[in-house]
Amino acid sequence: MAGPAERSRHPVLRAFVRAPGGLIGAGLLLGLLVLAVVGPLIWGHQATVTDLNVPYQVHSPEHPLGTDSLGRDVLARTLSATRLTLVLGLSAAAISAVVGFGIGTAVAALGPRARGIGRRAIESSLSFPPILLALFLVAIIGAGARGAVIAIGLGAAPGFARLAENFATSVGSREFIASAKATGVGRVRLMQRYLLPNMAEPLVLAGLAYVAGAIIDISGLDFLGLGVQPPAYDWGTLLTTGVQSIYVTPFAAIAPAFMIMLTGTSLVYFGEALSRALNPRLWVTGPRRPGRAERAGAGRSGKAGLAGPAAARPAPATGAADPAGPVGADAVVADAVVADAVVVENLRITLPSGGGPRALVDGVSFRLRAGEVLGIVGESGSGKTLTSLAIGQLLPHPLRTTATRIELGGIELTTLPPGRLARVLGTGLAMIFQDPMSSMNPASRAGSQLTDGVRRHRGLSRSEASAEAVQRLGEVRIGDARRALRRYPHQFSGGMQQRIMIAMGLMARPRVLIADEPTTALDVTVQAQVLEVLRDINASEGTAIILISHNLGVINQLCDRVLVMYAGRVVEEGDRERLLADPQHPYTKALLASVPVLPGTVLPGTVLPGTVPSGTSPAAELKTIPGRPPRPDEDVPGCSFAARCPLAISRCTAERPALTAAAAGGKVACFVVTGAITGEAVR
Amino acid sequence: MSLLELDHVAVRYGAGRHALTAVDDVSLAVEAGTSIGIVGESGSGKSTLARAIVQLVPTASGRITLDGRDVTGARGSAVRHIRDRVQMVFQDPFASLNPRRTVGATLAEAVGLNDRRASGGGDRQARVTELLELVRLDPAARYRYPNEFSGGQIQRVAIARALAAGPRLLILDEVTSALDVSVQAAILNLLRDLRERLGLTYLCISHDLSVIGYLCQSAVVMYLGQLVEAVPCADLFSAPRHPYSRSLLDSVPQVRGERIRATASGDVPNPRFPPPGCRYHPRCAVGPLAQPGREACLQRDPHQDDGRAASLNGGPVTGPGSGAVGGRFAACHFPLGAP
Repeated sequence: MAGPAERSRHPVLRAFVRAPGGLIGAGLLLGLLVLAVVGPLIWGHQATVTDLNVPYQVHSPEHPLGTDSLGRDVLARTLSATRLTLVLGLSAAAISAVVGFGIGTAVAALGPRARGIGRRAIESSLSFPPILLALFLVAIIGAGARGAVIAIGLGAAPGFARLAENFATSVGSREFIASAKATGVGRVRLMQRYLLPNMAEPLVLAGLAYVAGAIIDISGLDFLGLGVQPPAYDWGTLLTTGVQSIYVTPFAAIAPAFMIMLTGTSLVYFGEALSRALNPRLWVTGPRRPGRAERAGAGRSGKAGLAGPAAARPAPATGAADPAGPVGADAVVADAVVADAVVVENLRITLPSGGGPRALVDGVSFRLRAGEVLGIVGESGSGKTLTSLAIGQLLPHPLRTTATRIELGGIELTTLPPGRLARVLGTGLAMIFQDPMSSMNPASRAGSQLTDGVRRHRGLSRSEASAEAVQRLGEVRIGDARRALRRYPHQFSGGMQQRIMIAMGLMARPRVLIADEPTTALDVTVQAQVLEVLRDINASEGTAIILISHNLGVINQLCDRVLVMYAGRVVEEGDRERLLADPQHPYTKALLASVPVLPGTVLPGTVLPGTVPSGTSPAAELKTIPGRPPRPDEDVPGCSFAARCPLAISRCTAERPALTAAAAGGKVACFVVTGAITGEAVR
Repeated sequence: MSLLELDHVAVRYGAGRHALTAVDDVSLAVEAGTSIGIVGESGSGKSTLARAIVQLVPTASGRITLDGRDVTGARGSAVRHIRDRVQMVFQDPFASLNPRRTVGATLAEAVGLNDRRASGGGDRQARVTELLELVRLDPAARYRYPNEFSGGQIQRVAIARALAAGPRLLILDEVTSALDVSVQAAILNLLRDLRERLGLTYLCISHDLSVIGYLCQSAVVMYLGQLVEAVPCADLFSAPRHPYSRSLLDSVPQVRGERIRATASGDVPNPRFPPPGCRYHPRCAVGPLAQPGREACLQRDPHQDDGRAASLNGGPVTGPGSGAVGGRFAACHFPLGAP
């Protein structure tokens, strides 16, 4: 985190310069503005000199872009028209922006009833095409530059009004507005400091982009003879006259058209860079903060989060496995023993960045046995979600995976051709995520979503597939399954949606189900039901489950074995009961000690219910972990927990501990804990 | 006199056929220096109740008394009366802070709005430093923007902003729900520490019973807008009276000990169309669907039961805040543990 000393003095400027196209846009725009100022001074006279001896010239040393019907120099006219054109375009855009934004924000600030009426009014004025509205207004105001500007400006105002109203409403419903109101921030200040800055970005962009639009619209009026009147001329009038002789003197049309295009381009570049520069979220950028994809799915409980992968497309080009990997491994051994459901060996997930790839997950290896429930527990940024996405080959684009092995039911996935891969994953693996609503197609009935996959993968008929869907829905305890098939996702409650997602995953009878925070968005009573469904499926179908959760309580409900991840590595692995009762790794210990437990249901024999005197806080102070986990861009040579660890010895910061068998059972990546076995002296 | 008294408070959204009674006839008293938890699932109205107290949503009926003054539908100086005494901390600190302003600017504004004595810039900056130190942040944090903080740090900033007004009552709306457990622990410890040092009163909203158990002395349980049980925490955890409280407790996945079984069936119903009679009866493990002879649950809302009206709604205020054992109640025709 950048301290105040390190941060740039001019973050806005820096962000602007770094934004793609920012410098190009600013340069072009500056050039145009200079041209607008000096153009008429330098070429103004030459542009009006008529020379009837040389009409319709294409090109000559005196007239590089030729002449028009009266022998006037096209280049000089085009350059000196810059001023008038830009003034007209800017004024028209300014009128529509000011009027439109004013009306829009005012409507948004009204009470609910008046706002409804205002909205309808804006919408009905939008149903007139702006140019028609402008023609109508020109008829009233009268033709000419002034009339054109006002007409075009007012004609486009409704569009801005709707934009502003939309933004004001959506920003107004955000939580920081409510909290500012609760703090006592007044109405005007709320508008100034809270609403407007947060609307600025899109509005600035829209306003600037419309300058080019206004120039084009005014050109349109010029073409109809309602805009700028001779002898004054802007690019629009030049274009209009130029087009009439385009086969004779093409530059007379091309030159003003090119200038209009150039102006538009520079404004869009400039506007985009400006809107980025005004957004402090993008000031500390460089490459986007790593771990963001990770955080999306992980940790953040509470509001139904973004179940990252719902948006994540399968990346076809996930890095293939190390080509020099063990050759014997992919010779599928049809041994008598049931193959492990999932084998992951040496998984490494990296994010390419300027300073070399950053590892988000590093050296993760584990096996999921057939029929087993494996819990992966860790906090935000621990890499648990990325690990599961890597198994499903679902990592979002810039991330790269390398692994010695990623096997699903004995089939090596990293070397499979894409078509085969889709089939193996489609039938062998199901994944469910935190937010069921965003994982379902809102526009299609539950029935078709449930049956599409099996009809394709297993070639079942419609009725066979439906019968199977009904059976699956019964297994996840959806009553009246036939009716449920005909309903749309939004007609189900959150708990039902999640159970339907589970049923959908089970349709293909996969051997493995990966559930990533499946209950985090649900109420506790519903969470208990979903956990029971998962437990039933594991018991009755033998489906192996990888359960990813930040909640140790949820892990305890379901898992046989648990992996604890920290900063992209596995730090401890072991049987659930042992691991939760007698954690070995200092991080696991600290994590368990930081969970508040229900008073009265503490470990048997410690505190009896009812003995807690009411009026005092019952529980002892929670243990906390000092410091924070290392970020992926920090190069930690030793154990990544060493800096926060109460037991750390000098070796911990110099050398990375490997996952080693611990005396108490399971495996631990800690020199201090496993020191007893290896004979290492402990400080 | 209680610091905060709610007397038959109701909050409604919309009107006519689409009306939703988010908070239905809730009475509650909060004594200064205590901490009360509000527990319930989505749709229970717990957050709406909190927002009604700070006048972020209007009340449809009932009375809210704060520090001896009726602040229902407050305007003008009454709003100031509320802001000076009650502040709120929200679930998502990133969403509740203006992303376009530095932390220092946000805090200085809160100080300036709430403490007129600290009118000079220097005074304000001193107070901002004090606030940041109070929540154990480096005073240099003031120069940064919200997106430069971790979740735990930014929640500390949000707490500091709430403290800027020097409130007596702090409403904590799911303040740790978006945080990792190890970070949550630090925030919970901080909140306990602040309560002791500043003599604060907490109204703590959470779906997580263990958080309530850690921070609060007593709790009220809400279901579909109604208060169904009010009870000292120790009693809630050892012997809840309302079947809904029981099923909430049973549903908490514990890190150690027995695996849970789901005891409430189905989902929380749509609060727009609450079930008739006792609102919990369709899901109740000991209700009419499970035990014959309990038709009363289908027909009468226990809140309107004449026999119980006196203890529930009859007095000006009943609730856990009164401190007396008699302050506990359960809105149930057949409370658990009853003879």
